[in-house]
Amino acid sequence: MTFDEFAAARLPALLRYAVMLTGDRDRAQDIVQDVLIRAHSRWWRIRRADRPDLYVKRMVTNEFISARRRRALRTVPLDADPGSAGGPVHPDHAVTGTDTDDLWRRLAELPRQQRAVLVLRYYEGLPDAEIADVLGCASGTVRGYASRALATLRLELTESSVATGGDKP
Amino acid sequence: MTGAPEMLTDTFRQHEHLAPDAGDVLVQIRVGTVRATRRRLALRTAAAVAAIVVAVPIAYVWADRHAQLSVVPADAPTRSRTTLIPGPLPAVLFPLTPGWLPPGLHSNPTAGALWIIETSKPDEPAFHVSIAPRHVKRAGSRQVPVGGKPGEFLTADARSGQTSVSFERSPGRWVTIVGFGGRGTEATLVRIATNLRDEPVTSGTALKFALLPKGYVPMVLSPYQVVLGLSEGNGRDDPRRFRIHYRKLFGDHRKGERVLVGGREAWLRKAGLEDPMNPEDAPRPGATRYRYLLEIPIENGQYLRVETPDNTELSRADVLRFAAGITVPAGVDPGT
Repeated sequence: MTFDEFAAARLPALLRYAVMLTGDRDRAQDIVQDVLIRAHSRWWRIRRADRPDLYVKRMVTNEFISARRRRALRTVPLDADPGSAGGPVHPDHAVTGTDTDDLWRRLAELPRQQRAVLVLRYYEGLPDAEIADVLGCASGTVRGYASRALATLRLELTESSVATGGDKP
Repeated sequence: MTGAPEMLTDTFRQHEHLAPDAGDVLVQIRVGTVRATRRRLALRTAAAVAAIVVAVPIAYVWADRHAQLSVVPADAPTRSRTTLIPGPLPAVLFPLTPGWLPPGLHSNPTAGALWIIETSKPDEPAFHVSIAPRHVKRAGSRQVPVGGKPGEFLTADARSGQTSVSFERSPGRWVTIVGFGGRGTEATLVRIATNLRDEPVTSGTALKFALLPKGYVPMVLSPYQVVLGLSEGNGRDDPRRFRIHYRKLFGDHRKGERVLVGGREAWLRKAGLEDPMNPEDAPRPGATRYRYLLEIPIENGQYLRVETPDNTELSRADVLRFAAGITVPAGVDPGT
């Protein structure tokens, strides 16, 4: 698979993932652009990985979590108003727009590792073992991040769903 | 009652619309990769020039006798329909030359791309021309004719102020011209696109080829990385390309069949095509599609790799002969 083929196939999903991490359209674009430009220069090595997509996702996550990026992000307030982003809001959900907007704002206040765990678990649907691989930590650490994040968000979650990495109760 | 997992999943999905348009970002990435490659090329060229001045080129393999040097008997050399022809041919930086440019601008070809810059501001690109085998239609674009061929004009991106025109110059050969800083009006971009000529811009390379597969021309990616492409093809992205790369590798890469190439020990193996995520795996038993990978250890963990296209028409013996005709400079560090 060439870099161009990879980029064309995976870019939309990477951008969505980056938006979930950052909560910000421009920051997501910056991170994904930077990461893929770096990935291009070492593509001969990345393409040999068992899962190049996971490798690049790890690069995006690391870029998001890095201190340098964190400092930059703190100067950019999260724009949680969907109307200002110019996109549609889909009201046909069990959770109301008000609930999700409020939760979206509170997600932005979480430490980055904790937010990354929630995104990987509840948006990407990855098991804890793969989340640990992406974040470069142990599965127990992943569960710890998730528990603390959910406690901060004051969301109730059954013990089984924490342990199995996002399985619905 | 909605559970926490569902609530989080719903929250994330309801904000997917915040994601930027992938087509726009792809353009930015292409421009960024070309710029990064250009910077690396400039640095490596400077290093290569310094090294070549003091290096004694080692021609490690040549002559027709190398096939006979193979430790393992070569298989059916007469099968080949693609013959090797004597080199060298000038290496191509970019296969197109602009036939018209706005006043005060000149072209600056790099590996795989053409930058068009202001003569008075050499660090500020005005336009960028690239070629790709396919094209991703972008949101917000509209159709424009380019020299009688269907094309696509993408209006200025609010964030970057860039515009672009893409058109299929020949089947599987998409040309994209990006305009920067407000210079890329539709008329200007179309005029540049219409006047592109099939005249390659050539360059020197640290790798020299005594023999070339017939119909192929060397195309420079960096001083130590050359693609052999069909002259009408797309170069680096053409699946019919040969790739020759001299670089430092970590670990042991002596895999496959031990052969001698011009007296040097080398390692030849076949790579399968079944798993695109692991393109260097051996082909499955009975597979009819594969390519050759030849690794030649040179010095200090540096290898010359010759990679043929999928199902190349070169025989195994031809691959060895071709590799034997490659010269690399001694005493240089090609990097990884």
